[in-house]
Order: sequence, then structure tokens, then C-alpha cells
Amino acid sequence: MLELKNISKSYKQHRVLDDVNLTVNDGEMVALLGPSGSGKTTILRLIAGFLENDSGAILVDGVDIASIPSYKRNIGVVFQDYALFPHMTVEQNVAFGLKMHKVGSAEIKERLDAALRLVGLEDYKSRYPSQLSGGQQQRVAIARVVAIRAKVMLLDEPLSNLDAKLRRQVRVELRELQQKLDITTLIVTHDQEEAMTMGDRIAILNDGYIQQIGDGMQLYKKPVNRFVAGFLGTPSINFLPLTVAPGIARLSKIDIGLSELESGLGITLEPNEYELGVRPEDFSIVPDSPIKSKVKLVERLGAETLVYFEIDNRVCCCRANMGNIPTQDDEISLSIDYTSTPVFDSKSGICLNNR
Amino acid sequence: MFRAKYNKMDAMLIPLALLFFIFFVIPFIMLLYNSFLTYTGKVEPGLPITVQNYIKFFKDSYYPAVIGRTFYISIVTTLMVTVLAYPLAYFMAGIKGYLKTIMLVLVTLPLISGVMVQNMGMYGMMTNYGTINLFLMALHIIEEPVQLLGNNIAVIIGLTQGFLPFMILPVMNALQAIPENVLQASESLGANKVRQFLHITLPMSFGGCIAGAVLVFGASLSSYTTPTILGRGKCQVIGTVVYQQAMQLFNWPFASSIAMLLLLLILLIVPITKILSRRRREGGVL
Repeated sequence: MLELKNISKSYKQHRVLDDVNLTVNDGEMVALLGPSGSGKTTILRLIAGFLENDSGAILVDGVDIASIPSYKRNIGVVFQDYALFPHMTVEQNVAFGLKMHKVGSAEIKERLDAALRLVGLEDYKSRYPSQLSGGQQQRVAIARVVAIRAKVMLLDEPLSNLDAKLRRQVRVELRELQQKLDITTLIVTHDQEEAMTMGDRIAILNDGYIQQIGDGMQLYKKPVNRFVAGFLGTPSINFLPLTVAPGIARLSKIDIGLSELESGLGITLEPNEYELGVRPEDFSIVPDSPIKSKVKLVERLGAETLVYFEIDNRVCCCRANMGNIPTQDDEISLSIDYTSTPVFDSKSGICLNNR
Repeated sequence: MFRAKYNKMDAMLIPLALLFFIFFVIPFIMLLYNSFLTYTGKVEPGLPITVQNYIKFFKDSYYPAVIGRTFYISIVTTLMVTVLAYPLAYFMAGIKGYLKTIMLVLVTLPLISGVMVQNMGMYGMMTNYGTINLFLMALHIIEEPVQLLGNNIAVIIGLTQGFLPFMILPVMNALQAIPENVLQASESLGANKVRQFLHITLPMSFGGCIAGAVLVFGASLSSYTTPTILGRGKCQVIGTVVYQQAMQLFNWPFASSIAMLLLLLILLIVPITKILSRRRREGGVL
């Protein structure tokens, strides 16, 4: 089990990580998801021991590893560009960690073969890294970690150097491998699809602060704040300004029924400024409603169709029902399913109806 | 092969090719021809064509001894340079900014100032009433000046100092090319700093060492100025013997044949470095 407790880290005056708390349970795979510069790689480097945290504790199986140098931590790292040793063959690369851990030669052979078999590279033993494809190089990097029986595996953007098609395939393979190994894993990524498909749970990081931790659907359905809502989902959530006055609710200048809105949201709203987050699937095109617009663009993607329109000069997107697809320049009316829309305080961005 | 097809840009090689042909290929052929001519006692060598010059070289034990001394000096110089340059290159690969610029200028200064200036400076240090002797006498460690010049050691010290940049620069480049995360990967796999250096840094910078060693060794084999000044005529190497034969005795045929033999010896380095680096080439390091 890997635990991060109140981790903070600053470079000079700049605070990179702010009171980060995160737990990865035994055999679990947690995805650390955030935009570039959010501090996710810093977290990984702290755990690996390449950096030191200013405050807080990192615990592996309950033991604080702060005083343990990185070469004794037994934490495997798979780097973004794999970081294989170019002057060593596949076999030597995988056996390197075992030699460093002073494993006997008979056992080295056994564990080396097992690791290579696991990643399917038995036939590539004597190749050099430069003679392997990107996917194969990555598997060597994983085999190195597997061979030393690392307590924790850290994956740093493991798929970003692979082409799009291979990425989907490796994503599945990597996940299966991790489950087979039952190894506690933290994967750092900026790709939400990667995080959603691979992580048992996802931790969303922004500005050095963990915004929310939970499984993918939970984060998607019940974001704690505007950032999480906007970061997850493709096409992204539509934010619409909501003004509440006594007895009246206006969504982008359009009067909508306050009582209907409140009963859908499940909370009562004080007169104030808010923002309503509407997922593309929470819009539906109906014969008549107060929300009217004109279709700007229709994207037919096969399994789904996206309809783009403007509400008060904001471009919005809606997933249309298969039977009811308008064409460009059509006048449409839209209804919103308020039971699944999060509403945010317009100043703090905090979600108010996160049940 | 880098690429198989020719393109229009290759025409830019023509001026260099011409220069190379006129000032290298033609003189080289003349040198080869000269080495088979007969010494006449005058400036102009004459016929008949003979291999006598080559025979003379191996008949007299003096000349093979010169070859031996030259190799001895060159090998020791190369080793000294490697041992001294590596730590400095390692240090320089790890620094940035002003300090690095200053270090680079200092390292390349000997190349800019030229070998003569350096050697005269060292001559001043090492002569009988030079800095070193005066200093040691002032401390009463010695009472009489010690002969520091005119031996192999003086020449080796001079060459080592002069050729340091040839080793520092390629080794520094090789060290800088090692990605940081490769070192971190070895660390996370259980290598402490010492093992990290032995198993990763050293092998991955080996190509730079080979490149530097070839430059230093080749330059040492053909050195002339340093053995002349710091050796004071008592330390004859191939370079100085060729100069004597050609410019003082006007025995151009014999000088040419010695030069040809030197060239042959230098060419022998190539297959040796090939063998040394073959294993690593596949890894894409060298």
C-alpha cells in the first residue's frame, strides 16, 4: 500500500504541490490525472526518491520511506521514454536490477525468463533497445520492474510515445498485466481516456492540489468543482450562466422555472449568480421549450451525433438521439435534465448539489 | 550508410576536394615516390629507385628505438590525459551557465594559444633556474638544480598538458548525451551512485573516451614541437628524426620513408578502435 500524507513541495518561491493526500491500496491502480504543469510528475519523482518533499510523509506498507535512498526503495519506474540502457541487450536490461540486488545467478535466470515471458519478449533477449519498436521497449521497461518484484510500480505517461492505434491496444495489455501481477500502481497521465480506462480510481490534480479522488464515473457524474467537471468528458461539459432572483431563474437570459430547476437539482438556490454544467447528453431536442437556438454544425460520428448550437453567444454541444437529428440552420428547442446537472457557485467554482 | 543517393548539395564538397587533392593527395604521392629515391648528398634526391631507405631504418637499432620511444611516450600520454581529463569532463558535464562558459574557455585556451606558447611556458618552469628548481631550492629540499628537461617525462608532461582538450571535449559531450532518466532508472533498479557510474555512466561515455584517445594518441605519435623544446634534443621521437633528416641532413628519401612508416603505424589504430567499439556500436552509443 502506498500512502501520501500532506505532501508539499516548492521550488524556490513557487509551490508545486500543496498538501497532497493519496492512498493506493494493494494491487490497485490509481491514475493521477492532470494538465501539464499540475505537479503530477513531481509526485512521481518524490515517490521514486529523485526529489525530496518539503513536508509530509510517503509510506509504503506503513513505513515512511523518506530516509531510504531511492536505490533501496524497490519502487519500479517506467519512464515516458522508457529510459532503457542503450548499451545493454534486453536480457541485460532486465537482469540489471537483479544484479544490483545481489540475486544469485540461478534465480536471476529464473526471474529473467519469467519477466520476459510475461511481457512476451522471450525471443528478443539478445536484441539491443535500438532494435526494438516503441511498444517492445516499453515492455522491456516493465519487465525490469517486474523482475525486481517492486512493491510499487510508477508509470509516467506510459502511452504518450506510442501511436494512437497502438495506444488503445497497449492500454488494455498494460491493465491486464498490472492485474495479473497484482502490483500497487500509480499511473501519471494527462489523457482522461487513459485514466478512465486504466485506473481503478482517478485522482485529479490541478495547481499542485488534488481536486477529487474517485472512480471515473463518480468524477464524471458528481464533480466537486468546476475544474473537474470541465476537465473530464469529451466533448466537454457546457457551462451556462445561471442567475437566481426571488422566484425567478434565468439561464443565459432565458427564463426557466425556478421550482422545476430546484426540484431537479435537489437543492434550494439563494438569489445569486451560478453556473450550470450541462453534459452534452443532458440536453435533449424537444418540439417546444423556452430554450431556443439555431443549429450551427452537425457532426455525425457513427455511433453518436453531436449538434452544436449557440445560447447567448456560447457554443454548446448536445448529443442527439438517433431518431431526431436536426440539420444545419434548423431552429431547435432544447430541454435540460436538471436531475443530472451540477450547479456551481460562480465565484468559488464549488459544486453545490454534489450529493 | 547515412544515405545512398547523391544530391545537388554535394557540389559544395568540390572546393574541399580540390584543396585536398592539390595539397594532400599530390604531396602524399610525391612523398611515397621520394621514399624510394636515392640520397645524393645534395638537396635533390636522385635515381635509381631503391628500397634501401626502408632497409636502413630497420638495420640500425637507433631508428626502431625511436619508434619504441615514440610509442611509449604516446601511450603514457594517452593514459595520463584520459585519467586527468575524465573527472574534469564529468564535472563540466554537470554544470551550467557562467561557470561552464568560463571552464570551456579555460579548457580550449591551450588550443588557441598554440603549442609553442605552452611549451615555452613549461620550459621556463622546468629549466635549471626555473620556477620549480628555485622553489625547491628556496625550501632547501634540494641544494643543486635538478635536471627536469631533456627526458621522456618532461615530454610526456608537456604533451599531456597540450592534449587535454582533445579528451575533455569529446568525453564531456558523451557524458552530456546520457539522459538523466536513464541514470534515474538505474537508481530505481537498485544501483547506488558508484554502481550507477560503473555500469551506466562509464560504458555510455566510452565512445567519447575512444574518440579522445584516438585524437591524443595520433597527435602524440606525430608530435614534433614538444619533444624538441622540452626534450632539448635528447628525446628523439619520429617527428624530430624526420625533421632532422629532411631539414638538416637533406636526406629527403630517408625522411620520407620514416614518414611513411609513421603513417602505417597510425593507420593501425583504426582497426584497434573498431574492435574496441564494435560491441557497443550495436547499442547505438558510439
